[in-house]
Amino acid sequence: MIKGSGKRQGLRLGLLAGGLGALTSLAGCMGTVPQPVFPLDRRLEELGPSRAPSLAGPWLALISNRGGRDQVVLLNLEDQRPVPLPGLNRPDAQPLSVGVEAKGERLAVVRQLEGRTELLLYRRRLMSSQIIAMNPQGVPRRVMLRADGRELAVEVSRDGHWQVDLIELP
Amino acid sequence: MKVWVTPLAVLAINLVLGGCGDLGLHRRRASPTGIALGGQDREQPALSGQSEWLASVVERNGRQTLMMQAQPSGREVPLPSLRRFQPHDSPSLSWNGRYVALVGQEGGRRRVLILDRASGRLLPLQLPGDLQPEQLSLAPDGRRLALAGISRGRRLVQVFDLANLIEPDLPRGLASGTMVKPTLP
Repeated sequence: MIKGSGKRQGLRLGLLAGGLGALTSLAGCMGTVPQPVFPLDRRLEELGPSRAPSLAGPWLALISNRGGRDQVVLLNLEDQRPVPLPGLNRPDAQPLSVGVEAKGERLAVVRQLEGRTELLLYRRRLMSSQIIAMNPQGVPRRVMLRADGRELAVEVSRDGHWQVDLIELP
Repeated sequence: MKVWVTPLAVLAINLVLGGCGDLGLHRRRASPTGIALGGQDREQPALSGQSEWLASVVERNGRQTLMMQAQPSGREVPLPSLRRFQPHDSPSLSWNGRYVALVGQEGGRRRVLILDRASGRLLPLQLPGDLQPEQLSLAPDGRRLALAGISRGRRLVQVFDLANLIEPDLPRGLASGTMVKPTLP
């Protein structure tokens, strides 16, 4: 009797170990599960439909749709609140891409305005927007601002092809 | 008096900056590589923290493929472990180019992958819920990852903490004493 019970227990333990092993290998195949940053996700949901994220230092820049209008939003991940960007979001402009540097001072934005697509550099402290022309002429689509804010990598449509321009900033 | 000085100074700087356009900016095309890129598309650029590395997406054998290049030489570094995850999208680099994060594909499913170039380890991420990733941004230090995608028919951005999954990749001089600076190919 005791012998039979021991066998059953052994069988159970074996099944348990086998099951755990299978689960572990399954998890291994499926990949590593990253942890979402809480409660930031709730804050991001409140922003409405969002896209085009750019992370650097404690800053997250993205394009969100509020009331049917796309706009650039800059969040400080430490207090998880949007910071004001005076003069950047014009009601007649459609942002396509955004990049932020690690200090959160400079943002690079590609936007459509009055039928043209333009790249601009926004300086938060100065509340200034500087248009950066494509040279040779081309149409920008995506922009990435280097973490130190000193160089832009821009995807540009030129002569029927997509090209990459690197633009150093003073 | 002081109340007026600051806004006036800001206005003056704005006028100067707004008026000067792109004067004084140094521009260059991303360095070419062994393959002729003259007539080829190159998209989705990502620079490492000091522009030592440039990742972009080019078409190879009909598939969108991540191209990793040293700058400014343009020397290309092969990333064979990513080949089976084509097409590649939305590359993003950590500060020293140690980590390459991207959206790839496996068996018809879009996947988020992080390649550690120092160890060669490829980390596929299992996303919670039904988030279909489209675009990503890796924080330069590698501690967080922002993903944009579609979940339950809605476009959203989520931020993930990677601190327990990968070592940080900090600017030189800020690396912790215990971490040996990896040598990248």
